[in-house]
Amino acid sequence: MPVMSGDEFRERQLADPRHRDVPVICMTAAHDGLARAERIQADDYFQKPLDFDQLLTVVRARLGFV
Amino acid sequence: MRAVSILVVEDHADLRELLAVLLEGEGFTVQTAGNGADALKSLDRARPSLILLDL
Repeated sequence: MPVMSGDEFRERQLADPRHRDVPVICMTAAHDGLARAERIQADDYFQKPLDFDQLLTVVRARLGFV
Repeated sequence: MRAVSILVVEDHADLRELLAVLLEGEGFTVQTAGNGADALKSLDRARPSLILLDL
């Protein structure tokens, strides 16, 4: 991602007490996607190409809409 | 309308817009950013309930 990577964004988010609690679902096409998601302490992880139905299910659940 | 907002951070414009349409279709309010810097600005402007982040 240009200008600022997703990893750096997450680092800055976690360093900000106002925003660190906002959950993050990460999406990646990287081979080592799971390891990267764990490294940035993501709450959920999706491999690209995305399964949109599955993604929406997790989004709803994460927000308390089952 | 659910008073819940989601921030989508994705540099590929097509996927970003598709995710926004899908999530808005679910009734969520959606903010989008094409890079981490814009995403940080968006966080300061309006704190979302959830972030979808491209890595």
